[in-house]
Amino acid sequence: MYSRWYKTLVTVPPLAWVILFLVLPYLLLFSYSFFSVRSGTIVHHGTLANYSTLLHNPMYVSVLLRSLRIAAIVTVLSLLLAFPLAYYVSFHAGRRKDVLYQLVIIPLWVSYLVRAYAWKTILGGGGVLNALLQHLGFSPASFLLYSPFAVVLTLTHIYTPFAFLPLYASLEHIPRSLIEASTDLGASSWRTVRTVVLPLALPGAIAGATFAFVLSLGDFLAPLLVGGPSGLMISNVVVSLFGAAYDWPLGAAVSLCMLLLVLAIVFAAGRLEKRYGLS
Amino acid sequence: MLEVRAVSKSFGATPVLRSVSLSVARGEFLTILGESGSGKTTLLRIAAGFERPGEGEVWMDGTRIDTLPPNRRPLNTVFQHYALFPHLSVFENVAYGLRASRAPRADIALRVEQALEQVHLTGLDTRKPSQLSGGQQQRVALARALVNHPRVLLLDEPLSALDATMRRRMQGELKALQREIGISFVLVTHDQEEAMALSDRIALLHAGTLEQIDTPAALYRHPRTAYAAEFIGRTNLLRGLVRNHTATAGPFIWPLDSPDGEALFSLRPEHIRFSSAGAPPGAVRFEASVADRLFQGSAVLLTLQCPGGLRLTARVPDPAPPAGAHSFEFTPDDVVRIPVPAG
Amino acid sequence: MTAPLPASRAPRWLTLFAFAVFLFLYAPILTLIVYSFNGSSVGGFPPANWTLHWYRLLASDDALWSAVLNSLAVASAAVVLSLALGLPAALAFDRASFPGKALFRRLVLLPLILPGVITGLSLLMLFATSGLKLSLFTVGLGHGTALISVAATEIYAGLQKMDRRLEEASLDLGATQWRTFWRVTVPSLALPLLAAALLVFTLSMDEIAVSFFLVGRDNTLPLEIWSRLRRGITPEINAISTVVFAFSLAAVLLWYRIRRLGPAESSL
Repeated sequence: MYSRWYKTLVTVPPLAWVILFLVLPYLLLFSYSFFSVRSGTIVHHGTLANYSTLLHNPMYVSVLLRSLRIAAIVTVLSLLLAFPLAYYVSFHAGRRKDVLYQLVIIPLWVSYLVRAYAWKTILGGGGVLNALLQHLGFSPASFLLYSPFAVVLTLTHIYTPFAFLPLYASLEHIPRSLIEASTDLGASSWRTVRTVVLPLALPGAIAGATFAFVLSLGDFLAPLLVGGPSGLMISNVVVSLFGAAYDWPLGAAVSLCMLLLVLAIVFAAGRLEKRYGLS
Repeated sequence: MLEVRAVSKSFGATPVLRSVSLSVARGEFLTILGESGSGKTTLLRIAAGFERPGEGEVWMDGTRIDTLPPNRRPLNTVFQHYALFPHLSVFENVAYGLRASRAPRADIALRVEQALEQVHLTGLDTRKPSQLSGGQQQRVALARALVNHPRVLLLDEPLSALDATMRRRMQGELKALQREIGISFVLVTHDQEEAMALSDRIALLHAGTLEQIDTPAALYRHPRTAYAAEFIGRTNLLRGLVRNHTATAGPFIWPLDSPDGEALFSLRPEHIRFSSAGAPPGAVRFEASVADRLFQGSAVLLTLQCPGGLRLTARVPDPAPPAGAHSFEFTPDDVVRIPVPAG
Repeated sequence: MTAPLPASRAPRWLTLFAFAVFLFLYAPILTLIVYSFNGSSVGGFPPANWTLHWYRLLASDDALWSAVLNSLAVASAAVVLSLALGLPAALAFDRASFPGKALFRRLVLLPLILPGVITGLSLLMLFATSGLKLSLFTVGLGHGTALISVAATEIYAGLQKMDRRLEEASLDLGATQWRTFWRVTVPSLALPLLAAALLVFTLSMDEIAVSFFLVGRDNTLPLEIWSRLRRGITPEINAISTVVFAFSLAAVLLWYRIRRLGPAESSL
C-alpha cells in the first residue's frame, strides 16, 4: 500500500543519521582502541598495547569485577523489591492502582542527579542519618558514605523502578481467569504465585533484570557522588582516562570492552526472554 | 465496467484467491458473498488498491487500474467499521476527498450538503464521529464515499456493526440509494439473506474460488455446486445415479432427461409436502416418520426418517400434524441435479 | 491495561512491604525537600529555623539561570531532532522492509540500553575527528541522537494502536500519500508525538553522561549542579533540587494524562 517513495523517504533519513552519528562513532571508538599516546599526542598507529594493559594491570580487572559484582547485587535487590511491589499494585491495589503505578514511575522522571545527591545528604558524615543517630544518642557511623555499600544502596534506589516497569507489564498481561482457575482447582495463593504468576512473569523479570544490570553497570554518577575511592566503577575509569589522564586510546579500549559486555548481556537476555516467553 | 481478470493472491504460502474473474455491469448491485476466509475482503481490497494482485489484472472502462495507487482509482470504499477520521468533523470527513482533489471551495460546501441530504443526515455537520450513533456513522461513511461521484462504490461488510433492526432498515435505504444514483455497488458480506435481498447478482466465493455468479433467484433455484446449494438457504443433498433417463437417489426413483452418470441432487425443504389428492402427476410419494420438529413461526421444520435410514428436512406450513408416520411427496421438477465434484 | 478490579485483600506483610518500598523510593527526595527549608547550613536533626533563604539565593543566582536557559535550548533542540528522525524511523520499523532492517532497528534503540558514557565519548571522538568545536550545539546534537530511541519507541507504540483503515480511507478518497501523511497519519499520532516530546524534553533536561563529554564553555543545568556538588553540600542545592523535582513531577503527570487520553500503553 505504501509506495516505494514513501518507504524510501521514511527509511533513508534516520538510517543515514544513525550511520553518521551512531555507527561511525562506534567505529571510531573501535579504531581509537588500537592507537596509543606518546608525549601528549595520539599516535594513529595500530597496536594491541591497550588491550594488553587491560589484561595485565590488576587495577582494571579488579574495577571491572567490582562493577560486575555491584551491578549483580543491585539487580537482585531491585528484583526483590520490584516483584512484590508490582504484584501488589497489579493484583491488590484495586482502585488505587493507577495512582500507585504513577507513584512508582514518578521517581524515574525525577532528576537522576537529584536522587543520587539525596543519598549523599542522607548518608554523609554530617548528614541526616548520622544527625538522627546522634539525636537518638548513638555514635555516628562513618562507614555509610564513600563505600560500595552506599553505591549499591543508591543504584538500587535508582533502578528499582526500571525493574518494576516490565515486571508490572507482564503481570498485567496475565489473564485474571488463570488466577481464578488456579484457586478454583484448590491451589493456595502462595502456590498460585509460584506455579502460575511467577512463570508467566518470567519474561518481564528477565527484561527488568537486564535493565537494572546494564544501566547500573555503566553508571558513573552514583559512584563519584557516594562511592569514594573504594566504590569507583568502570565508567569512572573511562571518564578519568578521557579527562585528566588524557589517554583516549586506553579509554576507548575500556569502553569497547564495556560495550561488548553490554551487547552480550542484552543478546543473552533476549534469548532467555524468547525461551521463557509464551510462544 | 469494473472487471477482475483471473486474479490470484497468496499471503505467504497460503493461497487466498485462485484465478477469480468477474465483471460488474453499469448500475449493477453486485454482492460478493462468502464465509470468513473465503477471500472476499481480499478481492475487494485488490479492487480498491490496498493489495496488489499476485496474478491477474483489474480493469475499469477499458483502462487497466491494478497498477494505479488507490488514490488514483475512480472508485471509493465504505469501510468495515467505517474508518471515519476521528479528528475531523462530519463535514470535514465528507469534504475530505473533495479537498484532496482541490475542488473549488463553494463547490465543496454544496456537494457535502447534498451528499449528507442523500443519506438523510443533516444538521450534524460539526459533530465528531465519536458523537454519532452507529447508524449515523454508517451514513457519514456512505456520504464521504458518494460525494466524490465514484463510478463504482465498494462496500466492505458495511452493516455488520449494526444491530438487527438497524441493519434491516439500512439494507432498505442502501438499495433505494443505489437505485436513485444509479452507480454500481459492489458489496462484500457473509450474510446470505442480505445478499439475496439487495443484489442484482451474487458472486459466491468459497476458499478463494468463485463458485457461481448469478441472480439471487437463479443461485437459489439452480445451484451449480454442492457448496452453493448448501450455503444459499437449506437443502437436502442426495447422492445418486442417472441411467437410461431415470434418476435414482436413496429410495426415490423418477424420470429425468439428463446424461448418464453419478449425480448429486438438491431438494429444498419447502419442496417436500404432505401428500394430497390433488398432487400433480408424476409426484414422488414416500412414507416417513417425523423424528424432530423445529418451530419457525410461519412454518415448521421437520426432520423426516425415511425408509432405508435416509433423513430429510421438510418445511411445511404451521400447524403441522402430530408426530408419527405420514405420507409425503415432492415434484421431480423441483430437484436440481448438481455435477459430482471430481475426486 | 485491564480495568481496575475490586481489590482482593492482600496479605498484611505484602502491604507493609509495598509501603516500605514506596518509603525507600520517596524518603530521600522528601528529605531533600524538607532540608531545603532548613535554616542551619550544616544539616543536623531535627531540621530547625524554617526559612526561604535558599530559594531567595536561587532567584538571584545568574550562573544558575543561564544554565537553565542553556538546558532549555538544548532540550528544545533535542525534541525537534528526535521527533524529526524518530517519526520516520518508527514508520520505517512499521512499514518498510529492507535487508538489515532488524539491525537498523537495534542500532536506533541501542542508546536506550548503552551506558550514556559510551554514547557521549564516541560522539566526542566524532566531533574531535571532524574538527567540530564543542558547544551547546554539540550537546543538543548528542541528546537528539541518543533520544531518537525514546521518540521512536513511543511513536511506534502509537502506530501499533492506530487504525490502519484510516490511511486506506484517505487514499481511497483520492488523497496522495503526502497528503495522507499530514492529514491523517500525523493527526492520528498527535498524542504519542506529544508524549514523546515531553519525555524527550524531560530526559534531556536531566541528561548528564552525554553532556559531560560534549559540553563546551556553557554549562547545562545538571552539569552546573554537578560542578557545585563537587565543591560541597550546600542547602542551596537542596532548593535547586526541590525546584527541579517540582518541574519533573509536573512533566510526568502531564505525560501520564496524555497517555491516558490515547489508547497507547506503556512501552518503556
